[in-house]
Amino acid sequence: MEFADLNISYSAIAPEIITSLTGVAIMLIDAFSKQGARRTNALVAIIGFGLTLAALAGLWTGTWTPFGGDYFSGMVVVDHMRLIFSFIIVIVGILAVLLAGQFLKDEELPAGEFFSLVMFASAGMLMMASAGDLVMVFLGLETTSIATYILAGYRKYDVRANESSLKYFLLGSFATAFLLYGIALVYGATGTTNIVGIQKAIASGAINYPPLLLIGAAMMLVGFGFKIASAPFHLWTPDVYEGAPTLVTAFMATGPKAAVFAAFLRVFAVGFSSPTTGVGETLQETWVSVLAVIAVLTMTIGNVVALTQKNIKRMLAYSSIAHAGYALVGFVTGDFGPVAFYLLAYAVMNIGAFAVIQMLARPGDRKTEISDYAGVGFETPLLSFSLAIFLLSLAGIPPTGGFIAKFFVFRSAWESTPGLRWLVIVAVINSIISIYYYLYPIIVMFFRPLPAGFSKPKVGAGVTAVLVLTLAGVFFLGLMPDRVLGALNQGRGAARVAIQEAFR
Amino acid sequence: MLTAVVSGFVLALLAPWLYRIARGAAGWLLSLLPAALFVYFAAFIPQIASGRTAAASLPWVPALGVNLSFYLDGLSLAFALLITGIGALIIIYAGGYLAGDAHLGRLYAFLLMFMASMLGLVLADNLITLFIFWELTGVSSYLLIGFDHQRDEARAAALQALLVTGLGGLAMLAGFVMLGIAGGSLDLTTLLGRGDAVKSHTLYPAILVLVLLGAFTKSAQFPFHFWLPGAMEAPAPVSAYLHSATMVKAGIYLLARLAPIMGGAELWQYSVTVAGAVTMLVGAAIALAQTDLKRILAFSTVSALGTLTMLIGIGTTPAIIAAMTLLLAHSFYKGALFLASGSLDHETGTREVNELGGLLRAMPVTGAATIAAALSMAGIPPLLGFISKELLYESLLHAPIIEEVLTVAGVLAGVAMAALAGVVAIKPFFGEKTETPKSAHEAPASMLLGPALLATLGLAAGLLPNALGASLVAAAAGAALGAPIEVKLSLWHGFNFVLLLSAATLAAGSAAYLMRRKIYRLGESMQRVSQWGPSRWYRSTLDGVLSIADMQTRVLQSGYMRFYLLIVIAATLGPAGYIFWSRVRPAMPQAPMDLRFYEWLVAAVILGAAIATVKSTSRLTAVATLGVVGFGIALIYILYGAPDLAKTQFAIETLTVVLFVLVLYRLPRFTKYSEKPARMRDLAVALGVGGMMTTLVLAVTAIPRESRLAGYFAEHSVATAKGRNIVNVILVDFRGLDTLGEITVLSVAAIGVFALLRLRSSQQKSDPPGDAQ
Repeated sequence: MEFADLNISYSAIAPEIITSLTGVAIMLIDAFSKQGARRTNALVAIIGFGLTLAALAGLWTGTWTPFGGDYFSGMVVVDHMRLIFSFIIVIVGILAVLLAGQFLKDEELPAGEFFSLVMFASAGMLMMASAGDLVMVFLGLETTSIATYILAGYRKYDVRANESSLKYFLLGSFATAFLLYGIALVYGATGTTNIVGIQKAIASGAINYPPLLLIGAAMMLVGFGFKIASAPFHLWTPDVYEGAPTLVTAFMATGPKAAVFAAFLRVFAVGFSSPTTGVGETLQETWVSVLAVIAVLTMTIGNVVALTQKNIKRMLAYSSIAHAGYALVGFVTGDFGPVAFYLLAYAVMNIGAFAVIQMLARPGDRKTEISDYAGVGFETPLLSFSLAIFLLSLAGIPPTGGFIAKFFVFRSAWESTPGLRWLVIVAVINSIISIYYYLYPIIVMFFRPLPAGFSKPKVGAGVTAVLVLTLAGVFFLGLMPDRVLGALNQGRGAARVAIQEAFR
Repeated sequence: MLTAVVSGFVLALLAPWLYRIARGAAGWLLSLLPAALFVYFAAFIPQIASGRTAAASLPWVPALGVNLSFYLDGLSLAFALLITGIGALIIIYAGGYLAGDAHLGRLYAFLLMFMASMLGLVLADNLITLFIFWELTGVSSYLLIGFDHQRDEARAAALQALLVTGLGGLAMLAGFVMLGIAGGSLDLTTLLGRGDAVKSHTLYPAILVLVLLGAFTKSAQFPFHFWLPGAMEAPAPVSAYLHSATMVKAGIYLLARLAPIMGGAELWQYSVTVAGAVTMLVGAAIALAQTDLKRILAFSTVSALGTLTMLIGIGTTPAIIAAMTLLLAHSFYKGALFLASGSLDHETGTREVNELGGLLRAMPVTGAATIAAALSMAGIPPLLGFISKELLYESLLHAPIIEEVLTVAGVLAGVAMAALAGVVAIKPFFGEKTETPKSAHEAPASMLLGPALLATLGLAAGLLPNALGASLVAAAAGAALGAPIEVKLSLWHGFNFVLLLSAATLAAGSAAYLMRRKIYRLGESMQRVSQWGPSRWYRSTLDGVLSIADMQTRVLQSGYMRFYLLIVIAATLGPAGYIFWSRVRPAMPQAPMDLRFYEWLVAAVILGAAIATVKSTSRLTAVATLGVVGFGIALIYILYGAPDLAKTQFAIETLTVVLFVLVLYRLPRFTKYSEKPARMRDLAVALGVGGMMTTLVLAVTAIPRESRLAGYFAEHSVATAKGRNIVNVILVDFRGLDTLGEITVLSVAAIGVFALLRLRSSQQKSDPPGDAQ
């Protein structure tokens, strides 16, 4: 192999480089500044994300690097799918940083590590989105996971946070082991870890011992399934989401989930989709069917169990499981567009909801029972009305982004794969069930009497900014989704596959 | 038109604030908007009557074919006039009914929001837009029903209404999407011309069922009728507006709107007609057994909604004309009755008909309005109700399907209506004056305007039928039929069979009114049967879902890590094991098994140590035996010629054991956490996974594979890198860049450690010891 074949292009990985370097810079500033420089660190993090956005925009326009190519001998790809998921990841990162200021101040936690962990986690997520190779997928996944394991236990004197972190770490490592084993088996079967290479190997039929490929894919499915919190690998989610600091929960449920979905899509919808050969067909039919079953389980368990939750964080944890299920419905279309739009809408409304919850929960996350919300409706109108809108959006009620996202996913799935229309019907029934529990906190907020001794939480500038941004986002996606949909349509075909044929 | 819809929402936002300023006058002020809108829509009458339509459009999501487009034809105009006209009266009425209530401002806001949503619903040209406003009416009605939120019944009723109609609405959305696929468009105006394509499409039955679910739940058709009486927990103006005049008619609107597209097919005809007829009878029967004024009106509304549905199902020109006439007549008389009964309740403190009597003298205006409206309800000339009843019988007699059955059903319902009219009008106002909880006197002007005006309208429209018939009814019926028609309404049709039926109905109705005590007793004995009705299905479904959720939490979400792991492993073992068993096992390559003696020995040691680990009763033993397992694996590395790997493994194993021992002292006492059955289950899962992994390893190792790398490094180590220690050469030369990366990582980690140490020392300075929470 010649050096030129490596196709090295630093601009192709500029977003990852910038986030990583920002993370290091924050660590350095923190190590050498006199006091824990919270404001400076937040500012640096925001600037870092701003530069990352600029880099992504540069890649999008194709001014630096030819669009649609792969670099570092296929390790990194530059295409619409990667960039759209990267945008989602950076948006989540920015919102998390904005929220973090007040959290760190109120709870007197060190700021440097927090911001640098967010940066490193984001770098890992960006790697997952850009990965053209299973090794990169793994690298990104681990980078993200390790950072989030720590973030989950960031409130280190809190027993619940410790439990949350430890559970996440142990179960997460276990799932990663599955993924890694799967990668090894797939490599053994196809002789390559490059995702397009795998597709080509399957298409040409050059597989050493086909069953290995199937088992490898199954193991990878378990690994990814764990990370996106799909049933039956979802059991960690409620415990971890409840115990982690609210802000971290919001971050974990949106950013890493979007990133893992990106990698998941690329590996399965691109790598494992060449139904031209016997093995390829079996593989594709198997994973699409298994995924459909997982989607049904995920939606149903998430929604039904959410019905009886008394703790709002736990309720939203189950809701997040359900939403992963809806996104999986979009997955079976084989097109990244609906999934990406769904995850974008989910990220915006979910972070918004958690921002309010963080404010109402007070330092130490003491008030997270739904009964704690009694009567706050007209006391703190900004928070309560925002939360109501986010919950309605999560329930998929128009004219919010949540509605368009569901509509887009369900319609795409319905039209693209007639063999899986029953899946859409299950999804619709699930959305109906979900309305019940999303409305419950709204009722409690507005229609229950306020207990004595309620004091209004002080909402800082960062949190206000997040609320304004997420509200604007929810309505932007709900009322004027055309720009985003247009961008997604441009990229159609990049990851589009022939699942439709298999299930027609 | 867009402004007409949006203005309601805007005013809704301002309403609480306006109420704070204007207090008592707020109702009159706020009603100006619906009144103005009424005038605005009334101005369209000539244009629409001449057969033209009006439209307005705004792009929303062109990429998905969703536009915010509005469209005004006869049908939407009739509804828009009802919504705005009655809306104005209701807002004025509410000001009197809830005068002094702290949350009246909020009620105004919800009412206006509801009105705007309802307007959007009937004006929408796009199916998705229609759905959105449909759901918005659901949400605003939820807020209105639950207005009296201190009471549990109100909240439960509100939720029930929302769940039932919301559920139907989402089914309807699915139906709409399919309709869009079948008809190739989501625009109603476009779909109108594609009725045949829709009806011949394979999806038609599914579309029909889903759309009907939406319409039937909203319009309280059997078996979804139970939510409507429950929703009567709402204050009187809300019941009058939502549950009689407008919202429950949204389903009727939808049926009439889709009739030209989907109607006419046999499936449509039978399902809609029969559902309507059953609802008509069930509603009438239950209404007869009630003694609460509001519940009587609620169930008689269910019955009227059934009649409307039935007529649309029949679908002939006379039937549609009858439906549109009944729509108007019912809105007038039922609106008046609801409001008047609200006044009665407000002024006397009770709604129980047996406690009311001889009130005409105390409440003359309310009484007169009630009587006029009741006459219309009973179908007595010269009121509009009479005309609509004549038209109803006429169209039932000539219905294309099961006309005998339908006629009998229609007459029976008519008898019930006549009897009920007696119960609501004669009983409270005539006869002996009874003692009421509050001493009765006439209601304030704001509460008289609505009932009086609506009752007068019923009379006026009966006397001058063609003022209405020529324009509004003709235009609305024409839109529902899909072709313009001429309509001539008249009070007198001559002596014919229909008139005979009407007379018989009245006679039987009077008899039923006189025998009402017997009916009440019958109703009480029927209570036990109705306990098993649909309302119970709703409750048990809801309870069932909740208890499944509870069970899941108890069983699966136990909080124990080991249990979570078990599920993950078992879930993997399932599908992977299946693939393994069905595909891998049959094609297992046979590896040559020429094991040497010490290999057996190492294997035995590892196995023995593993078993000892599991069986041990102390942590120390477990850690030590686990160490033995690790060392055994390291021995295997040595046997297969990988001493560097073995060295690493030895180091790590030693370190792990040391760390374990350090931690052990801080752990609580060792106890057995699980019972024997649980252990057996764990054993089975563990053996399954272990077995699968082992065979997998055997399968992989049996595949002949050459390493390209090993040869490459061996060949080029001396030749190109000038080094004999291959491992070193790889580290510093072939993969030099990776090594650089690792060094960088180490230094970054060092920075982290430095930061941590600094943090520690600064904390020690600032925090007093033992301050950790």
